[in-house]
Amino acid sequence: MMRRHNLTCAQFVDKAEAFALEALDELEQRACARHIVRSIHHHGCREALASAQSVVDSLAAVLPGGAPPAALWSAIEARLGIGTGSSNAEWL
Amino acid sequence: MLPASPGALPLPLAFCAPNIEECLTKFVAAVPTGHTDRARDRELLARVAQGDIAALRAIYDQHASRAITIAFRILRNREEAEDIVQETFLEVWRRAAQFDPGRGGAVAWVVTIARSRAIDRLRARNIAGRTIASAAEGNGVLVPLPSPSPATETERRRDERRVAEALGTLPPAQRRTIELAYFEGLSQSEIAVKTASPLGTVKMRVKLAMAKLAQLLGDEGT
Repeated sequence: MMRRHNLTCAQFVDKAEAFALEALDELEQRACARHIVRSIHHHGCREALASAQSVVDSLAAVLPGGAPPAALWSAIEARLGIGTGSSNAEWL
Repeated sequence: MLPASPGALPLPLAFCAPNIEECLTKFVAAVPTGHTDRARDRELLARVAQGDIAALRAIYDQHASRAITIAFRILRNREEAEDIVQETFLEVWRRAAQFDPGRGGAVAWVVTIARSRAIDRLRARNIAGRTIASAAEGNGVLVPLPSPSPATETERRRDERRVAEALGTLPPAQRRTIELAYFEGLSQSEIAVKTASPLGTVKMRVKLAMAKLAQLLGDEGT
């Protein structure tokens, strides 16, 4: 069984960019997730993460557009059970 | 396979725990999506949260292309990319009420979900030494979308140009590192192997590039 590594805020801030990019190795990624969620008091963690995540979100803008296959929407509808009277209320 | 099964993780970041996606949503800043886009996204997602399938279809029409592009570029498999897009929109359907317009537009949300799920799947495969094709290869699988409204298109092009220009200011090694991390879904360790660079160098490139992009995109976005 692997030992969990608890990060300090300074360590988290150092990894925030890679964490937002999901470019850390699995154990580091989990350690960062635990830190940001479980710790109550932070020293720059949220700001560092917000800044990095904003950049990551922005990168979506340069993805090329294009039409997905026509059948894809039908497949989504089928998985949602559309046509059988379902709505997303059951998911909430 | 529906993602609501009791043991399934409905989150784009497949950590066993905790719920990082919800956490990120609370903390992140606004993204450079135009006001028109954001207002429309907010309205559409509110309708989706009420069970309006037509609104989901509208979001799909607008953003599925980018979702499938990022999924394909990461997975290099058309069927898997399409499956990721299906899962992405199922997640949008059931989590629309959680959409935080303060974070940015629906495109960022949709792409983040698709990208995270694709990375999860890629890493689950644990494929070593996979070939990374050029960006152009990834572009070739899609056909052009029908034209959006002029206002939407103008905003989209402005955002695209702005981010592309910011990427263009980075030194080539930093830009390549960001491309491999974001567009190909590689971890820093994988990038180090791919580029035959020390891991510490890759980490530094990520930090420097992200700091520069934050500065450029933040400055321009305000």
